[in-house]
Amino acid sequence: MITAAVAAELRGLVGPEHVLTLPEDLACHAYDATHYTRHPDAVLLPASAEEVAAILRLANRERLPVVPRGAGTSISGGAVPIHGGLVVCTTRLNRILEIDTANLTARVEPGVVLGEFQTTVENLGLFYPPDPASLSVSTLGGNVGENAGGPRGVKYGSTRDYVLGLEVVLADGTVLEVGAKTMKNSSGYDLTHLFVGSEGTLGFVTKITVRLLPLPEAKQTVMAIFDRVEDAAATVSATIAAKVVPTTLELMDDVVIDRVETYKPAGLPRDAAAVLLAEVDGSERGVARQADLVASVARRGGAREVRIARTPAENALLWSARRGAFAAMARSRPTIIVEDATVPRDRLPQMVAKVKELASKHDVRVGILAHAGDGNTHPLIMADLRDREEMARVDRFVEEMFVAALAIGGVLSGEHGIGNLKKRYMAWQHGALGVEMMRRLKTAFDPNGIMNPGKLLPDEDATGAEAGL
Amino acid sequence: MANDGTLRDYYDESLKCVRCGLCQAVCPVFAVDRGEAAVARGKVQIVRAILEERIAPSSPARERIFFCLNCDACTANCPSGVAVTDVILAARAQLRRDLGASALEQLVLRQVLAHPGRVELGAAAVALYQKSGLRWLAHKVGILRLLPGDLSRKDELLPAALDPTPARKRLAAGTVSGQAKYRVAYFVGCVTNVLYQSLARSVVAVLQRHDCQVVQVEGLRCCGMPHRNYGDTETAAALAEHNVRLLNATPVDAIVTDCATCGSTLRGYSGLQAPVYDINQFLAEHVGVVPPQQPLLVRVTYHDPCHLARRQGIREAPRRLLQAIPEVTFVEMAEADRCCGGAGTFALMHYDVSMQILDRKMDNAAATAAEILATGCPSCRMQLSHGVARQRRRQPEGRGPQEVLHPVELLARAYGI
Repeated sequence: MITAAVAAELRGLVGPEHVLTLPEDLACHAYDATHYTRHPDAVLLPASAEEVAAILRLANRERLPVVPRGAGTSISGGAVPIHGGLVVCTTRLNRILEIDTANLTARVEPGVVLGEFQTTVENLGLFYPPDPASLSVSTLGGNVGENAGGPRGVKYGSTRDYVLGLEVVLADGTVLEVGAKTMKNSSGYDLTHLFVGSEGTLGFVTKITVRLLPLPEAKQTVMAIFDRVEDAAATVSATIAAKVVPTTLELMDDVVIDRVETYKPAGLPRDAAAVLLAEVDGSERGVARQADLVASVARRGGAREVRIARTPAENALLWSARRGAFAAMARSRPTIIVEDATVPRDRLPQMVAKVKELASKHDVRVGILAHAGDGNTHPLIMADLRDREEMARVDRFVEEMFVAALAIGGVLSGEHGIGNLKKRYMAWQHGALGVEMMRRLKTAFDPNGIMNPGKLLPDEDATGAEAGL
Repeated sequence: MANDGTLRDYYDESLKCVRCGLCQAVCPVFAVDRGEAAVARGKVQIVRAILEERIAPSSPARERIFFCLNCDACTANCPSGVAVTDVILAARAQLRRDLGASALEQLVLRQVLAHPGRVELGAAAVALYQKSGLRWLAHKVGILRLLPGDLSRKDELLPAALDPTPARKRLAAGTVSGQAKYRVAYFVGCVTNVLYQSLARSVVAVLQRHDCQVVQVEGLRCCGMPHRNYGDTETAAALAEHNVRLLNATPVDAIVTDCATCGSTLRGYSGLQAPVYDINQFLAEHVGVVPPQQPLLVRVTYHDPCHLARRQGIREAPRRLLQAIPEVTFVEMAEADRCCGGAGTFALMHYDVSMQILDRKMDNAAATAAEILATGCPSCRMQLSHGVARQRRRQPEGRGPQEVLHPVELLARAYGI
């Protein structure tokens, strides 16, 4: 709860029309793309780093939680104000400040929508690779907070690989500039990359410097159809071992294929066990050679059919199946949960098999999508939130899946972040020492614990019960 | 039919929303406003919050539920396929029951009559809203001319001499028989009736050219869509019942309309005996277009009305009509099916947002260098005509469209009728 005096002070900082306190507006900022729901006490829309700093000074003084919000599309709970407080939106911090074509960098405000940014730089012949599925709506600030990835991660890496510098407002309202525009920087602790993926718990990002690449000349898509999912998974490593690193290497299992063909048929054979979709980019001649290489590796790996797109129309057709996959799964049952367990690439076949085995064991309906090229599985759990018994089985499935992933050298999340959803498992991956070191960092940056409390780090009194569930 | 029953009936539909936020990518209102309440997700979550009693049914809730074009772009892009318009209309009906009828008439009158520029937009829209709007508007036409304001701007929107006789009256008066291969009832929508009498004439003439006997069913009233949009389900139901009774009393092979909104509403009527067709669809797909002989050396582009393209799945038929005309150069515009921002009275109630949406549409149209902007909805036509005038002021050097027409009117010209 905020007092009338605090509300008035906030209105003085950003203007009354940019402070939302009506219940109807609070209800609109109570969620992200997970199932957590909790109303904040107020929603603020600052227009500058100075206004953000003033807000944080006030919040720090009053011990009010601050939850940064971009498009609110996080899928680990990052933007949900589970302890109430102030939701601070980056909506008005939405300018592309600079595109430097000599240095191949850009400076943007956090509210810039990723897809719009990508279109802008591509029109200049440049390229910003990270491509999370939410790119048509998610913001660069949100991408930085979650270290967003995407299918192109296999060749191009994630957001962290492209952030060169940040302007961050710290919890006490001081403004910190980290990083630089240089391509190389070895000047002390790398604070820049500490903030990337910190999910709003260490500070409020108000400016981002990213590096850009030249836009590849051409791209081509190859689809391989398999009778055994193990063959598809094994082909992933074989492709890399053949020294072809495709731009994307996506896997869809039989459950996903079945749902896609039910909802919006894309010409995938329903009796296939798995489909591998690879995109290669580079020069015109280079892509043709790469595509043929991928096709031959797939055939050697047991693919029963390989389709190569030769025109943009064919390309779009092959990708429509992959793009429609989430929608097809989401329509099957009322609740869709997307998990994110990631393993070393060569362990992918093992992980896929394990997920299927656990799904069967716990009687949970799961389809597997994967950014196979970097071992990032996306088990898509089709469930019903209102069925408590089923959700208990889903919880057990998820826990055992994490245990299995961690046991083979994997991690809890490849790109979705920890948020509220996975914080209780942090010690499993990082050990008590790792979690303790993270807590000390957190305390150094945010002594009063106002920055997105309840996210990333496990609750100190955690017994397994979670806020907002 | 959507928004029958209570809002509680739509709880499960609201739960289908997984809050992914992808609606933000396609919502024309969100593109301008950027607020969470502007987009489908925010509205559906407000509904859910009401049903879960986290917030009360309220005026601010209603305000946000009304801040919507009902263009259905969200549903088309929604992975879960949430029927957003159904949820929103049910919410409007529920809020009307809970809070009473909004001060809408007063608001519309204040918003419309106080602003000359909006009066032109509003004239037919207000008529749409009234239960028996025809006489009211005919009366008001006199008053409109007395209002102060820029005469040239008024001329831009309305025909230079507003025909005081509604189209339906003209049709009843004239002879409308022909060689009868088909007996067709022509449902004349409210906007065509008072603003676009020439379109009504073209529809009849073209139908007759296709061996149709055009039957005038006396006493038909507004299809009821504006009433449904405002949550007045009782009046909408009464209008539907009235129209169904009259239409069923006259045996015909088909009911044809020139308005996308009327067409989508009539399809939702229960108990209609004859099938409903949009005029483009009727000609292109059911009857087959008689090849026109007269060339029209014009460059034409086409705007897809939301209620024709998304609600009824009719996209190809109007294009086929246009491309059947000899010498016509047809050019697709970018985002042809993105809402024009008119949406009945949205342009009145949210003029600034509506104009920003319209300007994007007009920029897309101007980029085609087409002289004629064709569309299959008289309501869109009102908005786009206003857009033509605006475009002239915004880009005096530009080559925006000069004229907005229904495809059937171009066809009529090509038949020389």
